[in-house]
Amino acid sequence: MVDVRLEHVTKRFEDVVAADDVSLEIDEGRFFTILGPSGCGKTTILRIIAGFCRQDEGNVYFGGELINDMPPHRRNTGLVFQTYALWPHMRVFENVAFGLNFRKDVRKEERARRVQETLKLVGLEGLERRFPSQLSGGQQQRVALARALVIEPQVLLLDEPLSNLDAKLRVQMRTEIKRIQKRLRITAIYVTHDQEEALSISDEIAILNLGAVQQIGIPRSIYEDPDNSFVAGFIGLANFLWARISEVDESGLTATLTTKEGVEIEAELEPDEDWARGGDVIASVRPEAIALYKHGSAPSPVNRIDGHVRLTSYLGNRVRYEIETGWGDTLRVDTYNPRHQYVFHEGERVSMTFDSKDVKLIRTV
Amino acid sequence: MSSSTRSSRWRGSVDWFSVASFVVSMILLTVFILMPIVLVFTGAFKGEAGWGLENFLRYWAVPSMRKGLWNSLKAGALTTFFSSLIGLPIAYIVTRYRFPGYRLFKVLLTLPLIMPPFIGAFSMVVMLGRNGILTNLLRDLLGISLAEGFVKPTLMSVVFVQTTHLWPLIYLNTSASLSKIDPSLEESARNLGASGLKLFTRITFPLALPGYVAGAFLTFVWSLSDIGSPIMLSFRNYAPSQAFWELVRVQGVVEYASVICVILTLISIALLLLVNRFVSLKEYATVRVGAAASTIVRKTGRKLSVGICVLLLGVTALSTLPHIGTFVVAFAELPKYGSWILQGLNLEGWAKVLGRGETQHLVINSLLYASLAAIIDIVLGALIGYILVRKRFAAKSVLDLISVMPLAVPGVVIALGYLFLFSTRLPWMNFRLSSFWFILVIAYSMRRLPYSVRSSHAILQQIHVSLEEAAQNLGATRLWTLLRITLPLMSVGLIAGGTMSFITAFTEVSTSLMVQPLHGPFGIHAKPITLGIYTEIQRGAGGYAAAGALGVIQIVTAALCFYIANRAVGEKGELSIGVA
Repeated sequence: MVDVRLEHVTKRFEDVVAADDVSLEIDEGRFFTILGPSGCGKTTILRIIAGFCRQDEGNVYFGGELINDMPPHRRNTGLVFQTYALWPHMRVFENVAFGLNFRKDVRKEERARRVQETLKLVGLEGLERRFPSQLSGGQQQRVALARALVIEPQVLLLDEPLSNLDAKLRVQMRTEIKRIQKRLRITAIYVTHDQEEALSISDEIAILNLGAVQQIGIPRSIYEDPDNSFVAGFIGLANFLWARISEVDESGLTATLTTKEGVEIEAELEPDEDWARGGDVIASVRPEAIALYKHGSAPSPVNRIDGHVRLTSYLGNRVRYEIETGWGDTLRVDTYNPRHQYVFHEGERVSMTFDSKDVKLIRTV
Repeated sequence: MSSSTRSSRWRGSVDWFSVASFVVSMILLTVFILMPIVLVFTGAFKGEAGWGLENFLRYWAVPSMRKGLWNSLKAGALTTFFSSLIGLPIAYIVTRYRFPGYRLFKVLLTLPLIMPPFIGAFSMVVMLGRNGILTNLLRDLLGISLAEGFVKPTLMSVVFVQTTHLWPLIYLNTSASLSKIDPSLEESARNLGASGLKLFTRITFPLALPGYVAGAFLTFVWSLSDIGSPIMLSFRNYAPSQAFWELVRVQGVVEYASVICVILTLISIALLLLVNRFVSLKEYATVRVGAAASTIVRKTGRKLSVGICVLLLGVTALSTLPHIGTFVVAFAELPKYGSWILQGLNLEGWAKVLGRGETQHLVINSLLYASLAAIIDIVLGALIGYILVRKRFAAKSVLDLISVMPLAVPGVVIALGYLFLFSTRLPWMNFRLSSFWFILVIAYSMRRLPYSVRSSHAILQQIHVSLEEAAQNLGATRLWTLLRITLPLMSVGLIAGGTMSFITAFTEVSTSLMVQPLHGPFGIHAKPITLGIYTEIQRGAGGYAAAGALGVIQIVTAALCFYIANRAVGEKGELSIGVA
């Protein structure tokens, strides 16, 4: 178990930049997730760490040791592939035991013991004699995990390991992966495009877009305190209002914004934020932070926007509305637990309000 | 700090192993494929007066030579036409309909593939010739008189014999394409209102065109460069067999052979370039055996079933005629002149083939030659396939090109090139290198190489790279990964491909007849089986039985290998079907 460090790693394929000056510091024993849309370069970074791909620029360190030129088979990482990559001509036992062939210090008797232990850890006892084709998708996934874990790697690498499983199994497996990782206290680097997966499983998340790191932080700060509009829009949903700061009060904790259309918005500021009057910003409001009222019956005139319902989607635990504002924008609003609530119908005129604490200001780039 | 890491190249994609394999295979291919072809060309363009078209002009001045070239072109076109006439409907029927006897017919329809073409042509003469058993039977029982017999020394007879042998090439390639068509493509056309002939001409056939074009190309080139059937039918004016005659005749003009080979090569390469617009060159070599289950399959009504069965029975009867003929010649005392009644059992041929004497070596020789050729193909094919699929460097496209060449270059050309290339005597040998048996083994393996390269290419593409990466990630070196992961995963396909190489080498005609080895592994009896069949038939009636017995051995061996290869590959695999 080591810490992993990437310094200014850049990788280009033809004219595509798959990794653009990426620097990451992953502490020992942490569950670190690289999250981004497909094609953002997250798998490339994982492959650079595993050694299958050589960066054009920058350095990779394992526990302070520079490993740029170390071939993949010497890096002692355990990689779980998206396709599992189980060898169809070997049984479960042979698949899992494979890596131990190259650990000279592991003797034969110990080999069998360690394979059994690992299979037990992932809940696959009794299936040693099966071939991969005789296993379900979830079981194959566990074999892939066991195969990577049995060698006691310095770093566990997981490349979208759950994307081939159905929704229920996905949730179950991610809890299990997290449990195993915590128990072994192993450094894990996890790549996914699924934000819910990333938020639930990670100690720390790096958001990647077009090869560049957008933000690194704990799940809460990523969701609640996005650094830019990409992060705000990619993690969960956000409504964006383009505005200019018309006033900042003396304490520096409240700002008044005016949108292009002349609507006034009040926003509470974080103490360490420094916003100047006259600056252009994006005001981001999450759909669940907006309350919906019948037209004209909103309790407060602050942060009130009127509009009409364009679309009502009933989703069981909530209702998602798309509200068209007077000036033609569409805002999304979520109302939870709709069982005892009035559900607005399409075409109905409504008023939206939101708390000034729920307005997050993002700098325009 | 980035500049320091930039300079140190990680030994990633190109390692010593692949560089070594590349160099070795380039040398082998240059010597054994490129050089022979180059020598044939230089032989044709170099006359007494120096470089030029002198040989071509002399060749063109001989009327029978002009006639021979024209005949083989005509035969190529006609055989392709008739083979399409049989192969296309059958391909459609077999991929789209389920009828009584479906599985049986699927097996029966592949029977021509196990028929060695040389003895096959001879059997056709025995069955349908001027004094053919079937000719006489039809005359006596049904009063149908085929005065000169059906199979006689005419161009149409050559076309007939070639068609009975070659139509499966079109059938198999087209049905492979047909069964790969995503059913939703046809369903969406139906959904939009297309049906019947319109659906077939606008959607189905265009989608199956690559397979058909590949099959038609192989058929044309095969027929164009066929030596065996014209020789067996004593049809003299046929370009490739003229090349053969000029070579073996005492006063033959070797330059004519070179000129014929150059013309045949240029024709098939020109055709290949033309055809390449429809289908990638590489596709020719692989044919999927066993239809995918996903295609739209309809059950047939009674009327249609009867029609289909009659058609298939007819085709089967026609294309199993050579098999029957071979068995008759091998086991029976042939009827008296003008009669069709077999005179009883005759095992003389078997005694000759299995007993002592020259003939007994034929089978052993060919078994050895073909096995060695298959092994060379497996090793070289796997190596080249591996480089082509897994490695990235510019020079590999040259390797790709040369390895696929024998597909477009007729067997006669390779054979003649080998005779030229190995015409020297080595100081410690008192004979020409070309009469040394191993040269024939190399010729066999090179002729079949495109198929084995393509099949290992196809297999490797199906093996996901992550299977190899997973091994490296867990600590395996490249060599270990190759030995423990890649090769075991390739093995089934390699063995199946090797088995196919074995069959084609075992029944091969043109190099067997032209590169006549005199120094074998067991002394002076070095002939391969096909050459033995030729010699026996040349002896006249006295040699027929032995030729038949040898033919039966070829058929049975081919059937056995075909069965094994098919079983090994199973339903999902790809198997390349070639022609001898």
